[in-house]
Amino acid sequence: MGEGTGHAPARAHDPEHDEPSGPEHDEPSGSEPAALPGPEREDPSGPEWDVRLAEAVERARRGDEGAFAEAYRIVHPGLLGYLRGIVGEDAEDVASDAWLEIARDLGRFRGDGAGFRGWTATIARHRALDHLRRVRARPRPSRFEQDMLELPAAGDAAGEALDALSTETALALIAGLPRDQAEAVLLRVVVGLDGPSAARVLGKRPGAVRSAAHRGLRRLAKQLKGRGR
Amino acid sequence: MPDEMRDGELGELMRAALREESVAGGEKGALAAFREARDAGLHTSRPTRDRDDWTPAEERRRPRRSLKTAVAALVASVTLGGVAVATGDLPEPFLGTTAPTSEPSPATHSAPGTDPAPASASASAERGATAGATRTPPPGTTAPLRPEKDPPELPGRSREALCDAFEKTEGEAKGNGNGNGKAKTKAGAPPSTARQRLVAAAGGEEFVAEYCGHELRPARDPSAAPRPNDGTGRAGSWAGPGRGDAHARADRP
Repeated sequence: MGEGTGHAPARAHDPEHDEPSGPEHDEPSGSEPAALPGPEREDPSGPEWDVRLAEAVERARRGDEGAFAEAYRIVHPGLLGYLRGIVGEDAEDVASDAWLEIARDLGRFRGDGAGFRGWTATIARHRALDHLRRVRARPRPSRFEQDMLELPAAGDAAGEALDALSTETALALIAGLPRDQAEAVLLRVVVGLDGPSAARVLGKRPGAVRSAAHRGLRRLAKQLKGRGR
Repeated sequence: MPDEMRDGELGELMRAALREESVAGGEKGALAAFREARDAGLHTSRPTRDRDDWTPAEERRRPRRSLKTAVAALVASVTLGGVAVATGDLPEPFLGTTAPTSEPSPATHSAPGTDPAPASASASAERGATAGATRTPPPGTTAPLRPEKDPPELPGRSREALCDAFEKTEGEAKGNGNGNGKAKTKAGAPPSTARQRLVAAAGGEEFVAEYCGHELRPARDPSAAPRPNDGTGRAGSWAGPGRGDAHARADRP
């Protein structure tokens, strides 16, 4: 697992790219959850966070509650975004269910930070599919369908300023994609999984998931660019 | 490695939009569940399933256990394959004579099946031989056979089997003296093909004992005495219980 110190992994991006500086120094291993630095709080999904996440998970596995809270804060935003794309506004409930299972099964997990993202995404996906099954069994339209009916059309979405894409708009765009493309985009972009991990979560071949993600993104880009800028 | 999927402008937009309103309310529940599971020992007691193993792909592609298994399988296959080749080779020089392979099998199969017949035949034959009477070789066994079918021509195994059968029937003949009626009722039955072949291979009725080796009779006769009652059982036994036991034992690893 992690490399002891919390330096950014070797595969960090192009240095010119403006990105969060990643984990800086050794984390105190006390049980108090470490506060996330300001700018990074918004997007702790990148691979530069994986070392830090791996350490937190390892400490949590040894019983450190604060470390589990840190892992939660790193992983939860991406999971929630993914779940929003699948189950809409029930995402919070589904995420809670998923976290109960994650907390219970933490001792079973083996892997690094990126692996933890994949593992938790798999659990969240199963909970989401369970949820969708339950919802479809009821005589009311699913969240997914409601969103598609109520949310602005893709054309309207494209008219918005690109730097202020609303959650609703993003969900509408995602909802306009075929299911396999939507999930592939969400796992790759929002959860931050690499191709093989996303494929494993979806139970598909990496090639299929890669092309689904590309087609999905191209479709989104077309919808946005057509009228945006 | 730049990830155009994540780093693209569109990706950032989607990410920002969908993560926008992440509520921290669920954290309490997650932490409570964590404490509960930890205090119940769930974090140390439960096994890792396949779906829980997310060790990096490079490590996952060559897991130690399956590598070990593969090596073991390879070694085993080479070893056993070598043994198979070796045992496959062995009979060649042994049976390398001109003896057709089909010959031994009817001998071994028919001899036990015709149990009492050779018994009586050999019994009378032996008596005749010991009495010094010159006996006509049974039909099909002619003197000229001898030069053609030299004793070495019979595969070792077949020869042994035939002799064994011969010895058995002889023992039976002696056992009859102890009052086993079973064999007696079948006295006078025509000699079995196995016996015919044995006589033919030996070159004549009187040469059978010599052909089969001198130790044959002295060695087996005592064993025939203790169990005089089951002549048929013994006749069957040379392919039956004895070998059956051996097979059963061999089958066990």
